[in-house]
Amino acid sequence: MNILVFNCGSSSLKYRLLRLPGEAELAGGEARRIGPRTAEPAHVVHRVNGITTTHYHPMPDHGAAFSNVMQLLERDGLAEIDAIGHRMVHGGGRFADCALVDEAVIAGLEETSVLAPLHNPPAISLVKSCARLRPELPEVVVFDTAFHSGIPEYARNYAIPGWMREEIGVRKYGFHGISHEYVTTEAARFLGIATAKFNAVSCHLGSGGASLCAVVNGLSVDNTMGYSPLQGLIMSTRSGSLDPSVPLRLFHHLGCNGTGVEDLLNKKSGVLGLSGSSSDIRDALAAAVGDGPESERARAVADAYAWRIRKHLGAYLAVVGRADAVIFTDTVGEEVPPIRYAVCAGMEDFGLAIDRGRNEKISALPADVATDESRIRILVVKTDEEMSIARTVHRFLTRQALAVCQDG
Amino acid sequence: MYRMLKARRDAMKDDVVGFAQELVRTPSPSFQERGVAAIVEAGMKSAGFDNIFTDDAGNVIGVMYGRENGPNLLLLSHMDSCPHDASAWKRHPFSGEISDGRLWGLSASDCKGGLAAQIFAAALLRRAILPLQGSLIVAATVAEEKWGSIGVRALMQRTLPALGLEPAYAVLGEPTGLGIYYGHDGWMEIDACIRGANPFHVGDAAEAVARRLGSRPWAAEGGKSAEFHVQNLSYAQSEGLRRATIRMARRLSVPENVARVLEQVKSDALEVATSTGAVAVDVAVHEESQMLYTGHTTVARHVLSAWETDPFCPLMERTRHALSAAGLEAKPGKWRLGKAGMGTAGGVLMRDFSVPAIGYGPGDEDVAHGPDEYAETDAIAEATLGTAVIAHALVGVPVYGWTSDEI
Amino acid sequence: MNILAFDPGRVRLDYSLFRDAERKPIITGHVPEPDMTADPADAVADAVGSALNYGEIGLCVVRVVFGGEAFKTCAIADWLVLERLHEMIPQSPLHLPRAIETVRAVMRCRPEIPVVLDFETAFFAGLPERETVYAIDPGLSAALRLRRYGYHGIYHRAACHEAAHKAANREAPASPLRILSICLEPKPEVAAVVGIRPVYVTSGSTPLEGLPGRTSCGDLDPSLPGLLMRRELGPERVDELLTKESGLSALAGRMTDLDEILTVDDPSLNAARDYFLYRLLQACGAGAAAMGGLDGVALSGRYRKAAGQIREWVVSSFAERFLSGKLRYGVTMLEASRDRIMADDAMGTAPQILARIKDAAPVP
Repeated sequence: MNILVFNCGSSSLKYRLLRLPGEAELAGGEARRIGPRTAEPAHVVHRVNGITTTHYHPMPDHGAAFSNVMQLLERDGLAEIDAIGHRMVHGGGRFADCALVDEAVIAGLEETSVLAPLHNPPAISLVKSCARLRPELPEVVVFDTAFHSGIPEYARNYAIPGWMREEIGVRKYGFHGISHEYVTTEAARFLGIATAKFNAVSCHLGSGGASLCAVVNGLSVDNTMGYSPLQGLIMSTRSGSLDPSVPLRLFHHLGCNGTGVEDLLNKKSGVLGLSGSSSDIRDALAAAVGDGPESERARAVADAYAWRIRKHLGAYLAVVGRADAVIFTDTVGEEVPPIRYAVCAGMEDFGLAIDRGRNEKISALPADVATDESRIRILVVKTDEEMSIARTVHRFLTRQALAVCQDG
Repeated sequence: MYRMLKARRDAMKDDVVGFAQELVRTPSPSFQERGVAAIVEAGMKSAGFDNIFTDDAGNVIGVMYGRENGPNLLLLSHMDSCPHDASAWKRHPFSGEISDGRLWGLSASDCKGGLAAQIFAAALLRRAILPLQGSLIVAATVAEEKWGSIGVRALMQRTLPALGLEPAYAVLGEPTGLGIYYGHDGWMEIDACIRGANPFHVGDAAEAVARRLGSRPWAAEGGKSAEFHVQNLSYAQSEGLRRATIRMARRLSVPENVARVLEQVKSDALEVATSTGAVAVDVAVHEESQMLYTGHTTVARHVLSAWETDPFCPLMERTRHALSAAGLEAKPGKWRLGKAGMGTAGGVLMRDFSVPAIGYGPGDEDVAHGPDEYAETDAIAEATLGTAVIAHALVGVPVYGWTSDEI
Repeated sequence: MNILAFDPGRVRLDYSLFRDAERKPIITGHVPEPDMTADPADAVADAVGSALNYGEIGLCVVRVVFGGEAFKTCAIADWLVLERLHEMIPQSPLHLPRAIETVRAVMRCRPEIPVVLDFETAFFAGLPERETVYAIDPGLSAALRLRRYGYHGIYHRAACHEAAHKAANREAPASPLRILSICLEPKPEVAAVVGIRPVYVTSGSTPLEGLPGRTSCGDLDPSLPGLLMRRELGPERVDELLTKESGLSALAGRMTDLDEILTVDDPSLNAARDYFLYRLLQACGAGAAAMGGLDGVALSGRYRKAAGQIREWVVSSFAERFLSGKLRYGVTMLEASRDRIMADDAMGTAPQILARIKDAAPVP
């Protein structure tokens, strides 16, 4: 089955054509500068058989980007597509699983887009364009929140008045589910444990967002992100958790409306806010070496960043109980050994021991960086959200086809 | 916090109503506020103000200093009463009688009830030991009911700058029925003066002008017609010339400009007057010399500016939010100014001193400037709480996160 | 020696009088809010007056919820101390003025009695920066003085002290003990303490952060206050919602407390109980990770019945699944009430007080 997977940004569109179950990539690339004209013209960076080419086309919207991508694939003789998979950030309370696109699903997506007003709308517009331009192709929407839909009520709730839950849908949704699900599956496979019996804490430490996920029996039972992606860890520009009175103090102090404070906490806080100069934790780690107030500040940033992860890791190890593994993934998780070390060092009492040498020298992923004695394995796994989406689509369509056969 | 303030408000109710009663019992026509000023000063002393001050205009100012230099809040009410016709009253205007849950008497609504509530709001914050960030200024002003807001002008021009206090916002204790009012129309009094050597020409012209001005519909901005009253016509003789003066009152809407209105009146008057004979016509805002109780004299122009605070500005929003958090219903609205000569100092604050102002007071606009004026005693108590809540939201130290009873 | 302990709370003033180290107070009392309307100083004077019926008062001790970074131990009240407290009022705007007023009232009516201030935050003044900092612009944090504290330091310190004492009676520990201190009060709080130094605490720049309280929400997505404000609720209302209409009572749908949710078998309390235990589990896990291990657990606070249940939970649930049952020094329950601890803390300052008296005495 050839599945074309789309990962939609506000002005970009990543795509990969994947063949399952073999998991081979037939083509991939990214359409950039979608939307109104900018200084740099819109173009598609297209990759096939390891060769990358750039194609300039005006792309006023994601629909146009989709047409361009389809033309490039046809040109390369890759027009044989069986299904389209879409990444959608927020499925709200409505989508606990992936969904085959039809009119009702589109209506449901539009209702949900108030929960993710920045992320969902471009993806929804792409879903609609695909349905219009290639109505014969089954389209499956895969949600970043769906993996977390099984989080139990006591972990999902906040201790707030019931009407906030009922009227505004205030609860934990959790995010990064596509990635957490993928690395969980990969880690279980790597350790030779059945996914359904696999317990872990998955640390998705991205260059932007970051979250931890507690996994029991292969399923998410908690995620450090909450109603929005703002809660939890210190991220590149997001503050993570705060005393709930802090946003109120900020409203009062800055005299701005809700949006101003939201911007501050989402775009100017976290590593960027603390360091004052860079949103990349690697810059803080590099600057932390040496003396002087600059490196002192950088050290404080790195300490706070890792400390927050460590606390949540402890919390989730307690939640999971008997964890088989701690998984690190995404840019920071895969590429920044000192963070992994700071988070895991000195945790021997909980059965978690990191091997400094193995942690520093990783030749290929997935890798196990725990000591031989460590009861809990520490795995570094490369995440692949598009592959995760393709797997979900494949599983869903196969199961559906099977059901049709059985009915017949 | 709000529960604590409410408990203290309940305990304070008799005191604030009693104080309002004392104010009502003390006659204070404009320019004769000395007696009531002494009571205000004593009231501020027992309320625990840090600094109490009477300026040369006779305004009494009480300050509770905040921890920082600002923003400061001005609570403003006037001490003087409007003129009244005792024969129309069924009750004694200065009895200060309390019955049927009402405090009866001249100025109970406009605005001694409001003044009492503002002074006690400050006392409430002090007794609840709620810390202030900016300073809270309560000013009881003179000569508000006689055009020109000269008490307020003196306060803003000289007194507060001398005290080093620049208010960021003002709340007027004028009657709003516990609503949050954000403005009103204005009034101006115009003198049209017709002069000529021929007394018959002058007389005919004056009659014609008065008829014309009094009868024609006056276009105001926005296609509406402006309210216009010819008040009287008087004659005088000087230097061999006959002079007729027509006194008129005209309602002003927010965008209207006084000079333009005068021009319009003048051109109308000229058109009618010159058709009857050779006369000269002058049109001007009515002016009057006033002497304050302190002996100072000043000239007041009879213009009451129309004003309006943006109903969605931070001052309005913060006020609305705070009152609703305290469980106090407060409808936004504007004064209707049903009777000529009514008005507030909001226009002076907004236009001449750029201080955003709103009104919040216990009185009722409909019973102000009329016989058997009263204020609800519950409303006075509620305004005390409401004003304290507003003041805390605007200049108090924020208490977010500390308000549970758990620690 | 008689010691009079004051707790100037938000809604009332509590006091108790102790004789020396006797566990039970000679008298206790409180002045409720309505009676304090006239003059809070009178209420304090009345309390002092009734305590004097039982003999001279050797010491007064006042609970102060907030002492910032300046007060790392108990302090003996003088004008300088009060001045410094006054500067901190914006950081604890409802509690500090009350405490200052209580201290002043005692000093005024009985100037000869030394007044000791016992700070809830003192224990946490030295938390490491990584634990106190919020990930926002440091300039803004400094301007608003935002950093994290714990607010049950009086209990935590005593509970950890007792746990260490008990452990030392069994064997002399080679390295500093790593103790999780769980304080079961209307606003519960967990701290992780290595030796005598806390490295982790659940509360924040105010007591609102952390575990859910009786009516306060505890940890929340920081986007939610903004979300509520966009629904036409002002910050004051949002604050009231989160501090007075949330917490365990919101989950139960009625007013409840820890004792009830942990000991009464009522299906309507399940949501609150499950939520609390889940948050507690995470706090314990985080605290243990912060210390890199766990030697013992110390319980304190007014909810005694709840403490019994939590002890069970720690041993059978938490330690079992997280530490494979290894909890070397078990669970210690602190019996003493907070006012008794405060009296002890006050007596601990006796040498300083004596030194002061000597300094002040005229040279013969």
